[in-house]
Amino acid sequence: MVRLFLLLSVCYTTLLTAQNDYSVANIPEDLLDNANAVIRYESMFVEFDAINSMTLKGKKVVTVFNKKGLGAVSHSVGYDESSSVKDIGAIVYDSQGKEIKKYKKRDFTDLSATGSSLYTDNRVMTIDHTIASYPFTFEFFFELDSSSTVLFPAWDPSPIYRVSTQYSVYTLENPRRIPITVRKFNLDEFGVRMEESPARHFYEIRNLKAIDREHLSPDYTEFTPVVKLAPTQFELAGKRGNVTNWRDFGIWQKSTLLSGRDKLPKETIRKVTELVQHIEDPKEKARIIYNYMQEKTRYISVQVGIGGWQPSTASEVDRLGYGDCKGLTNYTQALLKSQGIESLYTIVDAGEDGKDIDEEFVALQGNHVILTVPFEDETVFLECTSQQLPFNFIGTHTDDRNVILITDEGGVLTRTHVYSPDDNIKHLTAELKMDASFGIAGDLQIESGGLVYGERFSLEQQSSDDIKLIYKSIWGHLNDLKLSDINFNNDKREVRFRENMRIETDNYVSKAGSRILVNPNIFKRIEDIPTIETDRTQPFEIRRGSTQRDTIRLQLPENYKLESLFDPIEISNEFGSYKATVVHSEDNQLLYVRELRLNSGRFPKDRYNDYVKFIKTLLRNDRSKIVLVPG
Amino acid sequence: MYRLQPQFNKCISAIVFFTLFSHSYQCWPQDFDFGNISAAELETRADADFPNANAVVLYREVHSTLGEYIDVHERIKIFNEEGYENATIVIPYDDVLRLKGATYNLVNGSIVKTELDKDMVFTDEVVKGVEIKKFTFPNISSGSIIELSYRSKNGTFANIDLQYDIPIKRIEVKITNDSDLDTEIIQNPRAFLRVNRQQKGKTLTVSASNIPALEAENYVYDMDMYRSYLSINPTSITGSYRFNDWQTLVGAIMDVSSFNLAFRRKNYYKDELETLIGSEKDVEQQVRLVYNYLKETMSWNGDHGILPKQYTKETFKNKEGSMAEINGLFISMLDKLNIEVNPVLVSTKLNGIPLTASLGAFNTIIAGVVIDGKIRLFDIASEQSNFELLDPLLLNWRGIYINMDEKTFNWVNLTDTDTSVLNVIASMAIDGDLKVSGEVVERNGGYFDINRRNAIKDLPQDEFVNILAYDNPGLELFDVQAAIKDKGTDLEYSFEMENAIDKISDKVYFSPLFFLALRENPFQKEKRNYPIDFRFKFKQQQMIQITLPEGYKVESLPEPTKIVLPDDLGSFVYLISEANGAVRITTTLEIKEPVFSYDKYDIIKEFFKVRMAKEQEQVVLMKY
Repeated sequence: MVRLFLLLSVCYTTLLTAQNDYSVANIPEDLLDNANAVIRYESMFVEFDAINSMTLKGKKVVTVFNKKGLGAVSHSVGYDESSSVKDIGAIVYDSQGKEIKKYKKRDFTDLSATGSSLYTDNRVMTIDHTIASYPFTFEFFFELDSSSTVLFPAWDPSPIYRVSTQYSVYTLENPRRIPITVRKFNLDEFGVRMEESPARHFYEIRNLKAIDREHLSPDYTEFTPVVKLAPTQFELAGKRGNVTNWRDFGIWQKSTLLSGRDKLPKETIRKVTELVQHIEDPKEKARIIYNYMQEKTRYISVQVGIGGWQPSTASEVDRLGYGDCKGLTNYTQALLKSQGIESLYTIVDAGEDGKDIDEEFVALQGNHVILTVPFEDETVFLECTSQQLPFNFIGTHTDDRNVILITDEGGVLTRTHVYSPDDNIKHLTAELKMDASFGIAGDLQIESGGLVYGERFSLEQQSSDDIKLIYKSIWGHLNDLKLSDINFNNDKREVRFRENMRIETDNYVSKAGSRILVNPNIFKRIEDIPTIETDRTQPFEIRRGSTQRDTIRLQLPENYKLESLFDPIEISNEFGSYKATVVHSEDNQLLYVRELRLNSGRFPKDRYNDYVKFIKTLLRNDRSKIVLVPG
Repeated sequence: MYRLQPQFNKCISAIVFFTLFSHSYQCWPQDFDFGNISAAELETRADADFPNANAVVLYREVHSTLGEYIDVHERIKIFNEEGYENATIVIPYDDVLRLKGATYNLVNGSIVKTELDKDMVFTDEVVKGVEIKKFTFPNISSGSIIELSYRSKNGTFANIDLQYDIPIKRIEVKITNDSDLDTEIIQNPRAFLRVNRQQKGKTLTVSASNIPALEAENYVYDMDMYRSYLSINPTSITGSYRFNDWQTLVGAIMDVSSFNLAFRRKNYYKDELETLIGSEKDVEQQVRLVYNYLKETMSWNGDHGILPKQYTKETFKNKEGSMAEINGLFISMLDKLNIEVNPVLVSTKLNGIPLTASLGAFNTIIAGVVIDGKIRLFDIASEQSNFELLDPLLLNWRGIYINMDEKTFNWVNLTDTDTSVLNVIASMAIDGDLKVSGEVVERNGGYFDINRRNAIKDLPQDEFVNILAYDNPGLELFDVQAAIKDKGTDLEYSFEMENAIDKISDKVYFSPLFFLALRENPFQKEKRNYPIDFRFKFKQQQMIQITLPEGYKVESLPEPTKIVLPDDLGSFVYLISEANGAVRITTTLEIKEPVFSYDKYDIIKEFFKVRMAKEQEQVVLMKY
């Protein structure tokens, strides 16, 4: 007790001295470089008193120079049923460091943090401050007690781009000496001062300069100082845990959160049995069961107490016909199990930019749950929250990343399905005719597969008016585009989506005196051009590739003849390949073929500008035109 | 010719009769008692009138007994997965009573009913002290019908929506007024819905059928402006005042002391005012000095309100307040300078058109200042207002100028604003490698100025480039400089553009507006339901000079063109010429009305289409 008291007073002394001068003039010169905001002082003090008790004391003082720097300011704290906000407040200073406004706990607004869920018990206390002028300095502090101790706040002293940090400190007090799992990134590189002992973890940094965002750069933990910490013994919404490796983690998850939640009503088992009774192949059975689950349920998120971590029971999902990712995954697992098919509850960090589960950091990670079904010939991954996705198609939401499988023998890491550039295809074919006033009309087909399928198949769900508007916005360069006879073919088994339609546009060409310029590349426009970066510091990563082919036949108007074509174009390098040819036949018809393959991969930083040039070359070649003259 | 008409009419009435008949038979089952669902309704796969709808409200019944309670009963048909979200319900009251709900599905030909699980009805405390009910219906699948009913003691005076984001097949609203308040119940005048109204004793019944969904369109200030709803406007205050007309409403407002006091001259800002005004004698200059001072120091908290909640002194001290409070301080300070000034009651666009003399008719206050014998209107609070112009949100029909001393009022027109002018002057050159580069100056006036000024305000200079929304691959903009002047905001920048020029054989082709050309027609929808709101009248002129590359001369230029909207409501002029190795282009786009009615849509769409095609036309150069 005495020791803790001393430490606290030391800590508060630091706070008081640091408080002396928040004037803008007091910021070291090199921290102003490139900075929209400066974190003047940041401290996080974690008191891990007992397995079921921790207190967080946070304080952050940020000087903001402009509205782009507002993201660096903390002004709210979240809590739930297992935690409570003991103290919270804020002080605003002007550029001279003079206090201009003070907010006490009663000035804060207490909001529901339910967001897009139907309901959660998450709440947030926040302050709504009207900014009078820049620069200003915002000091925010809070104290939070929590009985859930499963994860400590991470130390992340440079949380966003173009914000510098004058001082940041993190202290974890652990008087009961419970072993802590620690994962450290780039501490030496940034001269972090640290002290680690069984009872205390301490990290401190001064004068961290602002950095710029670089396009396609890898995850920030690769190049900024970060410490992640978690206790090996903890409590989570009333459940105890003791976890030092992935094996323990999996066993804990299974025994505490998952087991005994797979009972199904007899009637449902009977129905499912009936559905698969004549099927031998277990994968076919799984396909039918997945389909049954998709038709019967929908995704609705309710997170209350332990329900944020534990799935609803299979029987509840069966009764209500809805559940969240955990509930629907557990339900599908139960349905498969009823037919003798084993599957694994799988924890993943979802999203197009989702990360690998970090193998080196044994702790609660990820934000989503899917189902993994191992078969003899392949491992199938199932997204259980979608009513539309084909069996064994997970798309960019959870593809190509490390995940944890919860098996009977504990947690096991594996990698989800990788979609290669050859899988991600988009083939466009068009038969078109240009009329005397240079409008074009004809039939068009687009076939897509792999991740391109994932981008397009939801078109089928849209209303016919919306479908037209979507095409019109994709092909906004086509003047007065009219679409008709739109129909789709969604082959879920082969994961192929086919779009058929008839199109008609007004004047497609550019008039140049008596000449007519025609770009035979009618439908593809590269819109995102990266810009040249000097002094790039990080490698770059292109996460997914694709293969595209356009084949366009265009009948030219009778009263025009060809003046010039362009020569075949062929480009190939590590980033991909491009080929475009145009042929004119005797019956005044053009045949244009464009093939583009974009590779995925990680490339060194000094290749970045070559990549930019490659994309620019594609853009230039996509604009190649032919010339028609009357005659 | 004329003889055919009677026959034609007969034909029409036959259709009308048939349609009505079929409706009353098919779509309106005799009673909408809770739970009275037919297998036929469950079998339907698409709605006959709204085949595109993902879900429709089959029936909505609202019975409000003013000041006591409101009863709601709704039945919703879900057609497909996209319609599932309509099975999640939010009731914005905490005192929901008698909640009943059920899902109906057709399983193997028989109707299966699943009751709403009361444990799955959540009370979400949105903000401490404000609770709402949230739940979702169980066992939803394509074809399901859901039904709910409840009573609440809150919100009996709230607007009653007659239109949703999905179609409503049949709606019936009953409003019973047993209270001692007088009310006037009106439909949103901007919405076009035709309803039946019937007053029987103290109960008004409003019904309508086949109400389409409110569908989003571009060039609309806010879609909710056009939603059909009933607003319940109290025209008396607990029996003591009756607002038979605008005069009594104004009188009542003036009698509220917080209103009355807010605009009176005070002493505590005497020193500031003296320093500010100095020896300035000119009234307009004095107004401008006070305006600029408050504009600089005051922060608007986003609230409107016609009754100030804090004293003018607090507003002055806290440097923060609602629109009424900040403009109230302005009025008070001008009053101190003996300038003729009064408050003006305004209804923002979202508050609706002020048609009924009721307490909710207006929701904010701006200042009316008499300068050179004319009333000029000012708002300090909004970033979108400046000394010359009011925030477009405030340009809503007309407001009431209250003469505080004489206790009289008169209407002032709010929509009469000047044309906003934007001039773009570009000097470009094409080099020997056919790269285009140049400098551009943008001179922003009127609302263009306000928009640019706000966009660059508090933004670091290296981010200025991001407010130039020229979405054009191959274009790079740099050295963006901004100069904020009294008359407007100037932006200057340089650019380089690759891939903008085609060299085919020995000829060179380019569209001379380059990135300044319109790339897409903003009007893509085939049909338009709501007025097209450009927000303000404007004139946009672009003057471009292009120096040609060495060794080339013009072979052909696009034809000059002028297109005009009917009744001279707008025009587009394209002029082009060549002289001394340079091409000069001037385009002028002028829109002379801020808002066009929806039936002008086809003409406006065509106008933009022709403009876009013209701006894409090519200049051809040849070697010499």
